[in-house]
Amino acid sequence: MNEVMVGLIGLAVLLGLFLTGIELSFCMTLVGFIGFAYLNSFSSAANLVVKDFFDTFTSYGYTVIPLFVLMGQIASNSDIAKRLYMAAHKWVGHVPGGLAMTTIAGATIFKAMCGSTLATVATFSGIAIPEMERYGYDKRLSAGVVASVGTIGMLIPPSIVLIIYGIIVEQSIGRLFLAGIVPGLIISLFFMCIAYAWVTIKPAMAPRAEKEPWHERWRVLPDFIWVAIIFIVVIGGLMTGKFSPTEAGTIGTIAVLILAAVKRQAGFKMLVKSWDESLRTAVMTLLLIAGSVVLGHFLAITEIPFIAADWTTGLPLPRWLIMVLIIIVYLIGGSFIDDLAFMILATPIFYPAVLKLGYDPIWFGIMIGITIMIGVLIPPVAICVFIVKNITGIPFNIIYKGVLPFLLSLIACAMLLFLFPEIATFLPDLLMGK
Amino acid sequence: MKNIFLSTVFKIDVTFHAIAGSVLAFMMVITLLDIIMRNLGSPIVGTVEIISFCGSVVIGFAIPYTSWKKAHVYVDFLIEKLSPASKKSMAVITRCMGILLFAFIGYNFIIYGLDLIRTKEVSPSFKLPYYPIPFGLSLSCFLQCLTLIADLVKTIHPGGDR
Repeated sequence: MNEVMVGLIGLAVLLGLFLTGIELSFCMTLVGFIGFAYLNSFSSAANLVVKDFFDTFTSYGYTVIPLFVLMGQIASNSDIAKRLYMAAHKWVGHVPGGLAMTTIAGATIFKAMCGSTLATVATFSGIAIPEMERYGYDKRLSAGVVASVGTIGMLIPPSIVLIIYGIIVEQSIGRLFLAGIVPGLIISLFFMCIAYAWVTIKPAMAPRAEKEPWHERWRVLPDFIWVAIIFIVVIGGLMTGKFSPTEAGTIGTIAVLILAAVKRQAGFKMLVKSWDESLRTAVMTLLLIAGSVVLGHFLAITEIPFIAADWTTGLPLPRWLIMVLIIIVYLIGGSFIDDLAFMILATPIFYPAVLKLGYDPIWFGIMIGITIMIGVLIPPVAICVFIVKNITGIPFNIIYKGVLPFLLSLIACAMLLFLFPEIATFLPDLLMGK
Repeated sequence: MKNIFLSTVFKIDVTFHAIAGSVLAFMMVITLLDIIMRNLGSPIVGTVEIISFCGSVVIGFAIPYTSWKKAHVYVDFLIEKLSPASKKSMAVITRCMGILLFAFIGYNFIIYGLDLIRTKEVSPSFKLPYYPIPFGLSLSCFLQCLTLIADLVKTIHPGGDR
């Protein structure tokens, strides 16, 4: 049996194992090990597994992951999100669909500190949905907006997805962060327009809240300013090369910790909870990466990624259509497995083809980010919808009806980014050079 | 007997998790000190090495508790459709696969550690020996095996555990 056939059988076995309920990281390691042992030798495969795990766990680059996750967990578990929500409420709560727009604005600003989509959805499910219900908002709008806004963190820095993508493809994380800002803000704006338009067409969806006096609005302004300062220091430090990503993660975490302490929300229980959750998320992510590294080494000797790249680029199709097909593979794969796990698994396979097709790796990272944003909203693994359902008890069909317009706007934004890649690339090119 | 085993594994898992959390805090302190000292003109030499070493402890030692909490990613939509007996059989098979995998990795980490002792490999700046890391990771892998065995016990004999 030749190497390619062994590789293909390995991938088929991998997909079969995924369905058994075994942890994805475990089965990637197993398949990688067995495949490598079959093609090389048992002892070299044993060395490979240990060396790959050792290198992944001792990699300075990967230490950024627990730090940025911790930053997000502290922001999420303290009352920072609630304060941001209430502050945004005072500024835009009175316009049509104001509370929905408040949720979008609050979540977008909150994402500047919290890279976790799930933490944002969980936090805002607990804060924003009860508030919107209090004002008589239709559940489709309230649940739909909360399930959708969490996804913005895939692009707004410090995005964990972009950090992992950057490490896998060896691209600058600072550049990826900058590339995510404009598309992230455009999506946020799209979401706001949808909420506004929906309520304008059907005013009964969202009764207006009362207008806050200006002195009240100025009073809450510092809540935005603190977040802006943390964001500028972390991203600015990364961009100017003053900090490495690990240092930026540390500075960000300490800054959020200080902010929580100043607001008297940094209690011992909150800290233990944040530490615990961030360690679990970091371990889950790094074991996935370690497993994918082992699997990647197996696939490399089968030459499947290079054959796939040659085959893909040799297809008698325009290159844009090939890229669309690659994105659809990410979308379908991420819909059945976890989206982040699929990105870790698929990127080393497709990345050579993307480069060969002549696409910008930074732009591709942002496209993958938007694809994952869509992936976490569509069944069967619509994790954001599941969280809203679990926390609020709102039925799936109502949440999905609410998510649909926002999902369509995400697809529109993905198309826009596809047609005009400069939306993502101009900011890093402008500030960091080509 | 079952409860003693489960609670012992849980306590060790929590202890390792707490060590990982403390090392994460230490990592942050060292990084912050390095940034401050660097701006004062005298950076801490070898910070990258220390952080890398700490990173392995943070991730390695937190693996067992993460498994205890079932925080790893897995696909469950097909499993959920199976009958309880089939679901149980599948869980037993996947737990056994996990136990074998981590026992194997743990054993090979020991061999790798012994290799590092023999070759006297040290880090470039601090001259820190590398071998404690694979031994630490090996310990964590064996604890992971115990955690998966505990999960297996809970699967085969559900209920009754405190």
